[in-house]
Amino acid sequence: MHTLVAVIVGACFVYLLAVFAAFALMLAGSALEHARLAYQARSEDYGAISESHFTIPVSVIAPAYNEEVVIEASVRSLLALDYPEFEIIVVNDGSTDRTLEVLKETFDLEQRELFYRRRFDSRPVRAVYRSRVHPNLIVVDKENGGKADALNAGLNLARLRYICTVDADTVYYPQALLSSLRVPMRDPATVVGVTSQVTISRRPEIGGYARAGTQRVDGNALTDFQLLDYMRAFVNNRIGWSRWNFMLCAVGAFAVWRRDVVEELGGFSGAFTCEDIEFTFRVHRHFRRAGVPYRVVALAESVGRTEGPDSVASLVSQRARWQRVITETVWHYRGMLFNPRYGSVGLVGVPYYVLVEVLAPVFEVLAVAVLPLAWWLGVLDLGEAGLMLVAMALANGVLTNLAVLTYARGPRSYALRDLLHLMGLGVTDLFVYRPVLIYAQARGLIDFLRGDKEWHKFARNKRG
Amino acid sequence: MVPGLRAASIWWASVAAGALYALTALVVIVRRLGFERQRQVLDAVEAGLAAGAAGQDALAAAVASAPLTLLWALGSDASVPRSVHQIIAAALVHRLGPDRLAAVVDRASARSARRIAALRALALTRQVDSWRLLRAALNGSSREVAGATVALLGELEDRRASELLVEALTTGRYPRSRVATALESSAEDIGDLLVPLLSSDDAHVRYWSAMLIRRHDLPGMSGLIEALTTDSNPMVRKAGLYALGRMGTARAAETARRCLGDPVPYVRAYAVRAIAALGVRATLTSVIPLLADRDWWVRTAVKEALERAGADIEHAVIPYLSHPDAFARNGAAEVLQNTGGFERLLTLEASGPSDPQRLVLLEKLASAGGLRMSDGVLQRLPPSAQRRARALLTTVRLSAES
Repeated sequence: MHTLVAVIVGACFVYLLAVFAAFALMLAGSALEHARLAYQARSEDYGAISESHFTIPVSVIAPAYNEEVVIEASVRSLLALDYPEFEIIVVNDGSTDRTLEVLKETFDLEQRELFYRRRFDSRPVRAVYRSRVHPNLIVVDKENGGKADALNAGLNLARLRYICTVDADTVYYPQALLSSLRVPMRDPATVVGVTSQVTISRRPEIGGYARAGTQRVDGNALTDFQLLDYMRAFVNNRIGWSRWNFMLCAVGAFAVWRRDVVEELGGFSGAFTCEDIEFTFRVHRHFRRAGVPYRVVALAESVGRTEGPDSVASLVSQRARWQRVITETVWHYRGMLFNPRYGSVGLVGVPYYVLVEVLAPVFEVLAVAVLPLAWWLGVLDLGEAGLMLVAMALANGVLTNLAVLTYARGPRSYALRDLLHLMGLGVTDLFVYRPVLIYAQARGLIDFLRGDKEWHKFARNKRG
Repeated sequence: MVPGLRAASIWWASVAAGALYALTALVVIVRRLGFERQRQVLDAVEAGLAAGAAGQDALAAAVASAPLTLLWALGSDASVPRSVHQIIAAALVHRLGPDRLAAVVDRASARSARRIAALRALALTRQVDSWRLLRAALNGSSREVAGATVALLGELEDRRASELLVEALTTGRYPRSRVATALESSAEDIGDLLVPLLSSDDAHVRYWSAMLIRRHDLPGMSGLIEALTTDSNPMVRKAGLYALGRMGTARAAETARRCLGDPVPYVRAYAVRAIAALGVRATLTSVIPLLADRDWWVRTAVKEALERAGADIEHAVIPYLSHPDAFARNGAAEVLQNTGGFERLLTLEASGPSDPQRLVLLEKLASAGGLRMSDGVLQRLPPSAQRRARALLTTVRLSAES
């Protein structure tokens, strides 16, 4: 018994070291890539691009399911995008609330029949509406079929050369398209996808795009922990993945794809709980197999604010789904793991996912379960274990500080006192926020093993 | 203790993590304060500029007190207003002198931000050596510096800047789309620089010169543009049609009409767009048969062109409601829906004496447009006409089905 517990504790410790080493490696890549992207962004003449005839036109597709609270603000923000040519296709995916009514009333919609190419399967479309006041706004009303299905319905109507998939619970900043599309505009033959990051708020519809240095955090501890989590995920990981071209998750809240690639790959798959990670994996597999040069790029600019759950129950539901989606996707594409045919994706990207995401709940639950036993058996000294936790919390704080430093030009975005608040939260993350995530991830893993494929949309935060 | 781990190691790991945490927090705070200072200088310069002559002293004081690192940062940032850039450029030249700035630009190992700021300072203050440096930066190995140079050249409003950009368009060392954007934003007349490129051996050069030439009208150019529409490369044919639609040369409509039969779908779509842009009604009718094109992009381009023409074109579209091809019938109905023709016919029939010819037409429209189109049209009618129109549509639908 004593030996078994000692082995488990040792394995957990080795896992922890491996995760921190992986984080450090990604952080190094992120820092280099971020510096390159920052130079590139600073030298862009956005004024010229936003007025140019040569700026690539984009179809923005926003699937919406029961978004009556935030849909108006979200669509208004999309209409206000600073971009020369784009269309917005909002797909009402059989909402059971007033989403469609809000859209009809707010944007003066009228029903129009459009004959389009049904290139992708989707649940039946009930009606198509055009706005009398915004010629570039189309609303598709269809039977409920899930997010991938709604995206495919939108794709059928999309007319332009690039597709931008967005979420209808997110409020976008005016520069979102311009700051992202500048990358494929430089190299349209190679850059097939671009993703960027979003910030988080309890009520994204409130507040505009704050002047640099005056942006405020939400102030709710749970939301701010999520903000830090997003920062670490985007900055410390995804920008590094992008540098070595294994950017395996173009987020559903904002991803730009070259239309011909989406068409060639048959659109988004409804066979998975969530479409974004799976589609990104599919893109990588496709191009690696074909041996064609390509890039999927993650950018450091924040493109909007999305709604983050403000209750622990909602957060657990959301994160359990994310864990399930990751595990589902990695399991489906397990053939790429350590497979040299897929280059950096197979040799680094997928193993990284397995190490940091898929195995995390296993080791975390194991550690939580075995540590009291180890102390009782005398395998673990309580004082030293406590000190180790402090070291881990501080290391986590370092990762947080580095994310704050680079995130959306972090020090330039947030007010100084908010920066101090975020850096303070970073060290408490391990004791306050991480246990919730451990529980959610474990639940997600169990849901995956049970074959659960439901979305489990978290209840919208209460509005005053 | 943790198996295999000594207590001292854990202690030292904690101390190291704590020190790193404090250090990174300090860096965040210092960077934030640095940004605060940068913003203060920027605000002071902008306020000084806004105040005109009265603000000159404050402006000079703000720039004089700014540390050099801050001037480098502001000088390399394209989002800083042009007027502020001019002040920063003058300050950099004053403090370091043109020779030292040129040395910074020449030094490939220098930070990109500094090289960009120095280049901008030399170019904005029109230093003699700046053109050599701009050309070198454009052709240098640093993509960041080359990119900033392209944007800078677009701002300069100088013939020599345009010549350098046209040179960059030819060599293709930097993405041509970006060079084209910079050339497009320049007010300089560069038609004479672009004309020779229209007959370049490189298809990319022919393509971009055709895309750019639309706002420059020179003698003999129309013939060159028309020749591009028969180019072996479809991208060039497309660009030729793009230019043709915007230039409106004498034989433009006829040339575009000939391209409606091009084997490449996107060339056909651009031919349709060119004809629509030219706005010659007689030629516009020639695009209507393409409502039955096998390619969706072409059909969409035709529908958009016809809808833009409005009620003028309706009579020519109506026969296509009986076309043997379902795409053409659907497309014709969609065009008549969006020009308001369907609504007008239904209102007339519902509010006045019945016309047999109109009824036949409504029957064809209802059949080609389908139930959802009829429902949509009904919803748009005034409430007073809706009841009668609904009954009428039910009758014509039944008649169409039988």
